[in-house]
Amino acid sequence: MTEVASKLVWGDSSQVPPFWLKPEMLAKLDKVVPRKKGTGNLAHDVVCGLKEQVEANRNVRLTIDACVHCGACLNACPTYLTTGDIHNSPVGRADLVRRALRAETRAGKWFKNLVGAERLTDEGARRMATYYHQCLECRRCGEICPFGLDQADVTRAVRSVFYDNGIISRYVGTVIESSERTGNNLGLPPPAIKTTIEFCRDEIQEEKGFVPRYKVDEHAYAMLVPPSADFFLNLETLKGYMTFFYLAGLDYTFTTEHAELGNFGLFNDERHLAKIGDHIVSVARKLDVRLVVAGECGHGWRAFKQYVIPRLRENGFEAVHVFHLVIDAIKGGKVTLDPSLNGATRYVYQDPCNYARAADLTEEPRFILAHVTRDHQDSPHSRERTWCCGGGAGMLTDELMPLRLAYGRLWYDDARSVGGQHIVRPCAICKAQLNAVLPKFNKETKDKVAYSGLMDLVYKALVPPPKPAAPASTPAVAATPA
Amino acid sequence: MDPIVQIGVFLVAPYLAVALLVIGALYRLVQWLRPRRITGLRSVAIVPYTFGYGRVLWDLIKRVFGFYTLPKMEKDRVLIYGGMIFHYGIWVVLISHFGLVVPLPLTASQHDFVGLYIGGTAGVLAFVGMLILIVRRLSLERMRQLSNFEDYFTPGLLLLIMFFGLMQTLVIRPDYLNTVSPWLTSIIEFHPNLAPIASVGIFTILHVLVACLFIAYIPWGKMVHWVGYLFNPSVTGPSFPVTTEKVRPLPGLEAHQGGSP
Repeated sequence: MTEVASKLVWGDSSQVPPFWLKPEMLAKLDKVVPRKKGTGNLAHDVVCGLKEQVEANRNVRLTIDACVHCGACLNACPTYLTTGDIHNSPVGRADLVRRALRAETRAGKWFKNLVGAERLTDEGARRMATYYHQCLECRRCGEICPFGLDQADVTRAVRSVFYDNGIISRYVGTVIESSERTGNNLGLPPPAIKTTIEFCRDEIQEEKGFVPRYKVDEHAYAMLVPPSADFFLNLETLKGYMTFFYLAGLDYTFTTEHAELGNFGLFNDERHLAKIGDHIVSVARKLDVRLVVAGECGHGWRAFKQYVIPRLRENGFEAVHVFHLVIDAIKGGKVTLDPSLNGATRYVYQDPCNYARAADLTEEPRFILAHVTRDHQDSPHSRERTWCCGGGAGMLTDELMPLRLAYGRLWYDDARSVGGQHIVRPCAICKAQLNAVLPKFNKETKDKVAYSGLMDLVYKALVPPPKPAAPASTPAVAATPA
Repeated sequence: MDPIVQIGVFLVAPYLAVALLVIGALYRLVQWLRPRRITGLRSVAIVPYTFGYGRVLWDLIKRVFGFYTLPKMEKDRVLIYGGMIFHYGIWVVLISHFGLVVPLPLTASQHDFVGLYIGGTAGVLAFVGMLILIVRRLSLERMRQLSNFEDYFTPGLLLLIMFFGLMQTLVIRPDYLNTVSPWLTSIIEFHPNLAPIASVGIFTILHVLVACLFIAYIPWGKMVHWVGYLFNPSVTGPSFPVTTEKVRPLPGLEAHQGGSP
């Protein structure tokens, strides 16, 4: 990994900050969700914001209070292991916050460094912002911590404080703005989405020999919400959804109004998380669907499961992940799968971190993978031990490429250690990260490791019926999660 | 023994320590229970599929007695072994101390035997475990980088308590059944009787003094860790049970099926 070594100084990753969002773009976000106005004194306002977060959120309070500095998280954190910078670690990042908060207490004022107190300066605040924007929010620290202290959720809270003070990654801010303005992260206009769907329909006809039925922006039983990257980069995944839904006999519609499962509000600010999530509910209501189906996306599924599904249920809708439907269809014999169609390749499953450590989706994809491939196995670090792809939490931007390459080395080495030829990561961010870094890794190792999502493999393995499927007389898919 | 020392160490210090412990514990409880939100999501649970209270309870038991999260990453064996040796040892030591105030169906010699061999062994284990953890903190650069005064103060205090305790249990072996035991019972019953400990040795005095300091300090520093996680939503939920509620086929499903683009 010579490219990485040339750009990153071991032990100091503060030299690789993200680009920050420009004021004119911040103003656009303000129109949707107005930020809290501070005094203009950055350090003071940040400390006040941190206090508010700690006093409002129990998990943040406990994480700040109960850490014993045992250092267990250092062995788990991909950002520390690959940069060697103590501040680019869960405990190191939290200590920046803890020191600033302690400096405001009486003990901190009297005993200063003796009790780990350090008054925050403007420069210190900017440094804190940089380190908190290098966190992947992958929750590996929370998994290994004996007390379950999740520093990733502290990252989300701290980023929210910085956002109030006008400091937010340009990439994340732009994506949030795009999602709130257009209904998807990439800013795809409805005609472009429809054209992509039609393109995939034609491809399916060519490759599978039938024309899949679908709806766009129409009333249907189910509404499919995939990440927008599936309309742009991951067309095989999109073909997987379309073919599966058709063969399973489920009446569904795409929506161009909210063609996005991803929710970058999760990475940065709860108010935007809610705004984006609530839009899905309003579209479901508008189209009068009964079921909302989430596509392949790790962080999107976390935001969807933990925020959107409760909101949907409050409004009388049900919701599942597409994997739940696939499992039901397999168990109910509604679809025929031929694993040999995916060849003799060795597939290595790597859990997206938000599936495994935040939103209960570890066994379902494995069940499906076992039915669509012949040679498949877990990565050595699997399930809740999985490595983040290195592009999570808004890291998927070019200026952070040195860090993305460093972080990514972990899963790449993991896959190769078991002779993996094809990495399966059913997550839009993972796939975008692998699309960018895998060629670089392969070039250095002269290997040819490939990647895809899971619905891509479902697509290939799905065997078309001898003749077009007739309308079912009973509910084709009972949508019973595994 | 000087009466001032006797009153200070064996009367004032214990009650003051317990008072500070209670006040601190209440203060912490208020601080932990007052925040109502959990960073906006309905669930911030880390361990997958912990939907019910049974799973959460099982996870807590595994955390307390099995340290099960640490070996998952298979790297820092010094932390794992040091932590386990220390904690298992200190638990037995703490439980052994109940023998001083709870009447047990044991003869004095049996009491002495249990104290010497079980309490003594556990004390040595706890002492060694703590030494391992301190050496780890001092010898690893990454640990030195993240450590502050409190990270040395707490283990240092524990090390002192254990040293003074071990000196008594293994070396001096005083007649604690007729000295410390009646005194501690009288303190707990709020009828302080300092007569039994009038002639105890310096290691008993130091052991009690430092222990009182430690008890008073528990809620104010990192020693809250052993209670804190019981209140931590990342461990205890609530977790939103998306996979436990089945999606029922709704009326009209059949009518919707087979729609065309």
